[in-house]
Amino acid sequence: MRLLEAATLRHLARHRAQLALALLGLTLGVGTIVAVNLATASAQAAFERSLRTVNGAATHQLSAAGGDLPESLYVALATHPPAAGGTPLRVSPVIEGYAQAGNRVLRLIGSDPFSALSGAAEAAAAAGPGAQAAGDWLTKGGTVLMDAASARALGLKVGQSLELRVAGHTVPAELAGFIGEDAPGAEALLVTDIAQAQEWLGMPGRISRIDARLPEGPGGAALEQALRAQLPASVQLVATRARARETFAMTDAFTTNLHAMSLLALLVGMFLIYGAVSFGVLQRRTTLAVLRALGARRGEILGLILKEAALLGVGGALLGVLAGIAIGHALVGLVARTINDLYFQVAVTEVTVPVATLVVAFAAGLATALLAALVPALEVAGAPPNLALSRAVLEARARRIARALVPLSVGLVLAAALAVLASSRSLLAGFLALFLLLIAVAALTPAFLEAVARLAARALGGGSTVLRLGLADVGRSLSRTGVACAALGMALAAMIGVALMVGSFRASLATWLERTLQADLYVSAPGPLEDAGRLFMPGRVRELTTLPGIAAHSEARRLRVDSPQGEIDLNALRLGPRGGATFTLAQGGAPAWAAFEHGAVLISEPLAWRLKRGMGGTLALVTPQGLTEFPVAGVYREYGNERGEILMALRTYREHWHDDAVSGLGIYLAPGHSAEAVAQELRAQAAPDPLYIRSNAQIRALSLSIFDRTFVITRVLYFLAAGVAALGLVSALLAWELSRARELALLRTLGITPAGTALMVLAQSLFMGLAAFVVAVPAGLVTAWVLTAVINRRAFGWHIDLEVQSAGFATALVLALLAALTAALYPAWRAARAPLTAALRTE
Amino acid sequence: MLEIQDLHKSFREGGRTHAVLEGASAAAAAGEVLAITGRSGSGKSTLLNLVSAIDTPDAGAVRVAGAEVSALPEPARTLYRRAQVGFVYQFFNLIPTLNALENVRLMLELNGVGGAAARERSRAMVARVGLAGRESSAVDQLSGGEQQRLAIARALVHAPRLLLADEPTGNLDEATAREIVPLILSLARDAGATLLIVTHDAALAARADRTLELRAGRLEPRAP
Amino acid sequence: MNVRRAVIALAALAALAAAAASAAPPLEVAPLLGPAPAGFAAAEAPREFQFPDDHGPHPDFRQEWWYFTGNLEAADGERFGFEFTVFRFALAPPGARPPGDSAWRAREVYMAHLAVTDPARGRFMSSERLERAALDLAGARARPFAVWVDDWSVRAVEDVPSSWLLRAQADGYALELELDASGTPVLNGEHGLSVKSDTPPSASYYYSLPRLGVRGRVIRGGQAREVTGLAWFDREWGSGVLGRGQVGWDWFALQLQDGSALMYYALRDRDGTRDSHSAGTFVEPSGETRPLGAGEVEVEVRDHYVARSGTRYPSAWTVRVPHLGLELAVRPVLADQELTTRPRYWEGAVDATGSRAGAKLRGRGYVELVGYGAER
Repeated sequence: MRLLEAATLRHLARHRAQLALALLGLTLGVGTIVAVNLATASAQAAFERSLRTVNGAATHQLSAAGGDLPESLYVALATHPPAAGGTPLRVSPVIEGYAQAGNRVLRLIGSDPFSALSGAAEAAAAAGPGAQAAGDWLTKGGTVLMDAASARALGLKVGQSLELRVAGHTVPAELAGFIGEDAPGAEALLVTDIAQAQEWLGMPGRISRIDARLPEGPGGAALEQALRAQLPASVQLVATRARARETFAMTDAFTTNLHAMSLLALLVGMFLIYGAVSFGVLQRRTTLAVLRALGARRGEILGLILKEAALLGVGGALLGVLAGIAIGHALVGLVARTINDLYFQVAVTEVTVPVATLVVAFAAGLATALLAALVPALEVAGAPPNLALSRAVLEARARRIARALVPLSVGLVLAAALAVLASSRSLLAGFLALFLLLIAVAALTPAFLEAVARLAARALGGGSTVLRLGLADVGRSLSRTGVACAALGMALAAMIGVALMVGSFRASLATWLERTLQADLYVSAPGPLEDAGRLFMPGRVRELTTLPGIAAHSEARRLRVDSPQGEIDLNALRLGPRGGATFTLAQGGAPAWAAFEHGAVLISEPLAWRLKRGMGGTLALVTPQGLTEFPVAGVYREYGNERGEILMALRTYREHWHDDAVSGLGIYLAPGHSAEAVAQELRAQAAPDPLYIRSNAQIRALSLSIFDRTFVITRVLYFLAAGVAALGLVSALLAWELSRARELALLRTLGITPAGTALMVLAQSLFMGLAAFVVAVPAGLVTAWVLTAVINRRAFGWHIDLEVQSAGFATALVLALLAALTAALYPAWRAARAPLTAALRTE
Repeated sequence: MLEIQDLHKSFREGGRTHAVLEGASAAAAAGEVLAITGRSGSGKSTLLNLVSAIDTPDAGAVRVAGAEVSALPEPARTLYRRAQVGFVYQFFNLIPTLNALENVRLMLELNGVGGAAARERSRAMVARVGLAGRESSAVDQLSGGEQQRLAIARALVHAPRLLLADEPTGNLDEATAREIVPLILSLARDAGATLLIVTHDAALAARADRTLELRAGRLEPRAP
Repeated sequence: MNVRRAVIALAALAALAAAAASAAPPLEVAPLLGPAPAGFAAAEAPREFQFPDDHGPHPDFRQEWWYFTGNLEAADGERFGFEFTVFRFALAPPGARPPGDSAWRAREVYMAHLAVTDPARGRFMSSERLERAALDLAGARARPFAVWVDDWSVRAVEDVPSSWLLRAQADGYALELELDASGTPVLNGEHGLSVKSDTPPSASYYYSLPRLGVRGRVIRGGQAREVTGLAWFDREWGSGVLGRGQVGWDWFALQLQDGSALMYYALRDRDGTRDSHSAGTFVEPSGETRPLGAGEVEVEVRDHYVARSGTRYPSAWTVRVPHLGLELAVRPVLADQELTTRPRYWEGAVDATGSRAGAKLRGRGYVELVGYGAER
């Protein structure tokens, strides 16, 4: 190593605490980014794996809009496949449904092992113990394979008989084998021969879809073209990868949010690095000036500082990547649970470490360190190598910079406002505004700190001299105190903003649930949506709803329908006794309900936002008659489905879809009847079919608990950011305390007790924490507004009433004081203990 | 060798302009020892900053071996300093993170001399200032006198034409100062360097070839 | 060749059980098959063959196959070899009641193998298909003749029952061949009853069409080549099982320049000796047939080669039929002609050179090697 480098790098080694804090800040920043990426990538990989298990080697799927296919289409393709240059088309028929074994609902796949494109069918084939079982597969009824986990949970062994509930019937089956433990994504899966599935699900002559495998490259493209030419118009050919991507894209808003939060942690980490490097430079001001005087060039000094920062960056980023992988493992569960609660079922059994992400996060960490070091490095290299530059001059310069940052801060706020106003739908612009705002808070804080410190010192004129001295010091040592306070202020503002947003969101949700859940009991058949087995036929509805104790009821048919804009959830409703009063309309009043009863639809806010539709527009849906336009009579608030849904009168639905089934009932009790007794009667009436019965209170509690779980991860991330900020405070205080050891020792020699010195350090820290909090309060309010009115609106289309609750502020205040207190403990202890002689002697 | 010609330099302080040098001129031959005295605030440090090209004059010139160093652009000024100037300060200003030998060797490294040759030259220089055996000591383990010896070694190891000493005995006790003064003079003479000493120390000034006094921004000869 | 194809038909079933597994399960054939299942007909005595009806399926028997091999040549002399085989295997005896009414329910499974030998490119392509006999996805019929698995098929040309069209494609090769099946079928064994071991019921009905004229196209990577050549057609059905102790066989089917043809299968016993049930047929240019007993043909292995699977196969032979004065040196046109199907076996185009009664004689044909290496 060159001596020039040794001279500076050895400094780092001699100030380990400082080094450790800077590293920790960067580690946490980079770690959060890695962790979030890891968690979302793992969830996505798990999801794609599960699709692969189902789709297998298939590259494409053939399906009909909103229905199944005739098996003759498969036979035609298998025996007369389109030809293109000797490239063969491989196709395989699949039937999909649900079956219930014991208390578990399993996805039922009817597959053809001979064409076996689907992974599930292959797994099924692989599981068979031999030719005997293979023969059974075709010739013996009821032969099934089950994923090992479900079989274990049901206590089933190979060769054992079991009963299944499929499409409302109980059928005998025999477990012929497991779908391997090593087949990831094979969760809650039941596989049987396609013939058996057809019989069980009561769909003679029909199949759910056809899997197809097209080779890659130009041959595949030609084959795809030939295939398309051969298909009837009603049949769609979709690439499975595209479908998987489409499905996972539903979580975009959620994952974008997470990534934004992880960036915040890095941003806070950047302040830490800046603090550490600039303090390191300050400490070595004399040395660096001597080096310059001895003939070290400007570039050499600049290079030295940047090299040091790069070393810090590499170390911190490396540690961050490692820490991120560790945190990521913990975060995966949270992310997966949120996705399960909100979007689709995904079981994350292994953590995917996306190498590209690691590289990007590492680079981001390194760049952050270099960027943070650039300002102090340029400053020290550019200054004339004047040895006489005093602390006072330096602090005067820091104050000048702090004041210059005020107009910059105003400019940033204006830019944020411009970003929001200039775009109406861009989520990215929303996040940009959010970040600009937070940086503006950071830019404003030092000047604010200086001003309040000066004011406070003046106000305390008659009080304790020590206290006054301490507060004045805070303002005078802005080069140390300003940066730490800025980082804390920014983190607190973000925390307050998120707390307010989450609180407001929760309040809106609770209000909505209160208003919407008017029936006493909600009844549905168990099982996933779309399974024929979970529907009530009109006869059953009559049986259930005419029981004594039931005053009135509402009926709902929920299903997913196709539209030119993709699949949309449809909620066809026969309203209960309170009519439309259970809905809050954002657009359209009483006339909307009249139109609703006469064929118009209402759409939820998220759908209105997503499809850019509103009252007075129309919405085209694929009905059995083809594409049908429905007038949109209004827009209603809805927080249960972020993709949005359509509300349609049940009568309208039946006219178009010729489907009398009902998915759920809302039961209104007659006076004097208990919910429990009626629930019991309902269950008895439905036996042996099971019923899911929930009271409105249960649904409300469940919804809110899901909501709370959803935001756990948000909280975790913001606490991480606040933690990084607290670290910044610790490191700044420590550095400050070290640099004024002489001053403190001088005070001690003048007669201030050790406890007095410690108290002064503590008071200074608490004062900084309070100042950061005071800045964060208005900034947090604005942040909350951006989060609710801009980010949430743009991400989901939800309208959330901003409610200013004290709890969010209280948490932030407690956190600010706690951070300040923790940060001050060690420096205060040191200040009180430092031996006077040593402190006075050292320069 | 060294020619200081009509230097002017003033500083702005709180809106007021304060002239420090107003036509300071002097010259020194190679190997000559020139002492500069003056009261506090008379501009001695400013003069040294201008001679070492750390700072630039408002008017006038500094010439070293015929080259006008005060007119050089920044990188060249630094290169001039590293190659042709040696510094001895009142407060030593050694690099605390380097050991004794490394502090000396640093100058050679800056001048592109490395490897065994640099080590040998540094070791010899350290020995000449009487610190043989203390090569790997940390700087803060040395006494004040030892630190100043080391600073002298550092100032001369790269054989500069010009040695600038700013109150070299100002931070030393009398006995130590008596050892340092002959050392600095003899070493400078041996190296053939022009020595410019800024000092209050009458004893030190007395040993110079000539003594100039900085008074009212000008350099005036002082009668011995 | 009852035994080999019984094994292959069984492999079809095993493959069903291991469609995704790369390694086929070990083929312990006899225990899998067990004794002749009740409900199936057995080949016990010679029968009257009826054509074209016997080209069609025999659903009362458990297994059955249609076996085409042939050597082709383009106008510029470029050569190709092909193998196209369809197996039928019944999972339940005829008349068994299916457990459900879905049209996908099937009593039989069909399997097909396709292989193309491309010596000019040094390539050998093999591929397989499995299908249930349901919904016309796979099947066979006599009038008009057809046998098919998905889009792989051999079908009689409309109004020309003796002209068959073979169509199949896989992995960059497609065959479109017209086969002239107007020749007289040769009944192997005892008037078509071929006894493979002493353990009944191990016999099958076995006939061949040893010289089918071929005209058509081999399409390689989208480029069609016009070809002509000669194919061999083997037909066999039965319900039998393997003889104990038999481990494999070497099967030779050679079409000679003078219009004669030699078929011989050498059954190998566990101890490495030739089984006494080995047999063959020699067809004179005149069409006259001579059954060949186990001891009447000498097969001497001249060379070996190790396939990519690690299996060591014989790769050159001298075949002698002393009482006919026939001696032929038989060499593969390409060493690597191992099918990577389930099970793996070697079946490849060969050249024969030699003499009959002092007169020089050349020929082409196919050799099949089963039961070597890992298969055992």
